[in-house]
Amino acid sequence: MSQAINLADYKDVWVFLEREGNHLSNDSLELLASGRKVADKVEENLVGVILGWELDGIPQEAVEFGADKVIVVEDHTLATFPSLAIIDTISTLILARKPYAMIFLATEFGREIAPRLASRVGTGLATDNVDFVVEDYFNPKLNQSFHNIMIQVRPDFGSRVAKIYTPRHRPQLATLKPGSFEPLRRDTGRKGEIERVPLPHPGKEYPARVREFVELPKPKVDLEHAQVVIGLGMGVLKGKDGLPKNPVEAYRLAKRLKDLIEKKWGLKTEIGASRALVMADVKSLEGVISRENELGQTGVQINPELYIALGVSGSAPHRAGIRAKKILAVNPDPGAGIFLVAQYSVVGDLYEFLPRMIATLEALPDGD
Amino acid sequence: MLVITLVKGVPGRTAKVLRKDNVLQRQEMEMVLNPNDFKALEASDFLRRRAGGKIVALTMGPDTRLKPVLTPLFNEGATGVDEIFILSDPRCAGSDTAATSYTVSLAVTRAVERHTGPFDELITLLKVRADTASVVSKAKELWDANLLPNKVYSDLPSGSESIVKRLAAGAITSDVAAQLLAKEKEAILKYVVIAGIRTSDGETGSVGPQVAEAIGQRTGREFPHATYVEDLDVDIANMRIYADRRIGKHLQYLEIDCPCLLTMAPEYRARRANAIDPLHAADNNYKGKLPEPLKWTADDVHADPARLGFPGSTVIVGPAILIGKPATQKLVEQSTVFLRRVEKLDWEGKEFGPFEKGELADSLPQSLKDELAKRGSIARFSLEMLAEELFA
Repeated sequence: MSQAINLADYKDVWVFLEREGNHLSNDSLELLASGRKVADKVEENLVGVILGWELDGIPQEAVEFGADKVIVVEDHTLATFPSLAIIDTISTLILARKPYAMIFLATEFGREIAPRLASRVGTGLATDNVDFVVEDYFNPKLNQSFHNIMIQVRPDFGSRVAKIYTPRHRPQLATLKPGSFEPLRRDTGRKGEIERVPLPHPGKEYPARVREFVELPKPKVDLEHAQVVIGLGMGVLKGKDGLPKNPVEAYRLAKRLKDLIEKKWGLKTEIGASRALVMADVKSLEGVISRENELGQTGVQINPELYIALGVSGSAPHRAGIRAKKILAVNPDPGAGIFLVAQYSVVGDLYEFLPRMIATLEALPDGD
Repeated sequence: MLVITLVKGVPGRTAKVLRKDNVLQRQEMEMVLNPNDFKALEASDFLRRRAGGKIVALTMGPDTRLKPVLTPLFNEGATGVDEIFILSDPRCAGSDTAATSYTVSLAVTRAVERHTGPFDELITLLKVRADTASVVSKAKELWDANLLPNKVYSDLPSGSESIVKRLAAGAITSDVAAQLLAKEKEAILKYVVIAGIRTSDGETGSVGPQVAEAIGQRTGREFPHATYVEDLDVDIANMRIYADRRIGKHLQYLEIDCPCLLTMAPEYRARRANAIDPLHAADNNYKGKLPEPLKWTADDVHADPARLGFPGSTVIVGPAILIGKPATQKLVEQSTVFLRRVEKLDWEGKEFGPFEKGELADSLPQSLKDELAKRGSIARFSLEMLAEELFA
């Protein structure tokens, strides 16, 4: 596995692009921005890699959003995302062309193919990164210095980040958490090379086959792309006096807050819930709080401008899934873990606080 | 069907310990089963009830810590797991996903060989024309050790139909028996490995697909995998898995040849687990369970020491950097904050400031705070101020 390779042979920065309908996905635009940052730092080309069928103008879009070159593998057998064929194709390309790094999105599909691809080509994978930095790196254990390493920054146990290095292997493989980079400004005049490559093993049979590929109905909540997220926790089940409350009341208040923020400031707002509340399967919340509302490490990981945590205790796995610019936490327990990460803390009862908060916001002049 | 379930012990979610200096006190934390692994166990239980066979749980980590966490799995769900192996070796400490996957893939192979080996033993006896009595006694010994399914040997009333009992009764010849055993051995090799979607401590979700890749590389045959499986069923006649998985806004219906590896999405809920063919399922079952988890070392799974732990790892994790605590923490309607910018000032012989608008004033001496309040420079952090800071 760690047979000596000549690190200097490995040049370009590759990103694995995903489509959404007839365009690149928004997440892929962020991916291009992250790859651009690394490529500029190591002074190499940024290469978009896209596999699929009927890609039309998508490769050119990648150029306009920052790629110097796009490698396109277009084949009707790729239309249904057969992962073994895709892994086979990319690993063949990697072994032949030796990229310095390759970045995937930390989406379901990125998680499906990137780990296996890393093992296939004998390198490492750092998952769920929020940033990439290029630096020289010295490892005391190996007593060795490495020049221009792509340092992969990922959240670690909630309130920390860890730097991950793959210094001895190439390419350095990573996945990028959506929401971590701003897409580059589109430049329709930007020129780049689009290279079409055939499947390396056309007609090859793989031991897993896609029988059907169907589009899912749109989910009711889109926590991942919300600018403001309101999170409900187990605290909705009881009031200040410790007596049970009807959590529907808390949900209605949260909904009023959501509607107000959307109307007044035009910020896309969604309501989520802690794992504890989702798993509690509260009868009266049936239909409004379900698995797709779950926030935190095991649910949806979010990067909003503002996270409002209502009655959320803030366990480590919950905090690990939240990367908000600002956090407002409301909880009667001053020792609740959520206060460790909140800029704004309300030690008190959400049933008392929310109506006053809503009234205060209503009284404010409208935003632009 | 042989089902191998990969599980992991992870630090429990004890808020108490986590609060200490904001630093994780791993050694003080209780270990629990990784929450996502319950979905893997649910899926394993479903497959075993559907097709009969055995569930072998595999884990890696310090055996003394893991034993109490894993022992309850013998009773988890309807029937529990049948065997538990803990791969425990200090040389595995510090493994990244590549080193972990390598070691776990060897343990999977070891678990499979543990169940194919007995077939080879019997086939060898038949090939060398050993007398029937010694074949029967060997089969009984292996069946008692839960290493042969009921269809090969069984002392149960239905066991007269088992291969070895039919041989003993003279209903089939040694050659036929050897052929039947070889066929059943092939069925064991169509096993399924099942894991949770990811662990709550490492959080990579990489080990599943990488175990599949490691087995594939070692055997020279592509070993398929599917992650995020939300629904599954098994086709016993063709030894295939049908799995649904989500990719972004699409659902994929997959047909996967066994042996294969699946990781289960948190959304997975087992279908009603009626056996496809109850008699067939019972034939595939084994006599009983192991009484307790057993330990394997890296040598037991024939691991190359150079590929374990740090030396076998590709990825290096640097020191964690605290980012968690925000620079300022304002308590709504309790903290005192500056209402405007205040230039540097001397107060009782000490220099303070300058202060920006919105900055906390809580830590200033009381007499200074009184003075600043009198001047209208500071005030209680009100709801209006909060609203302005959040949305302005």
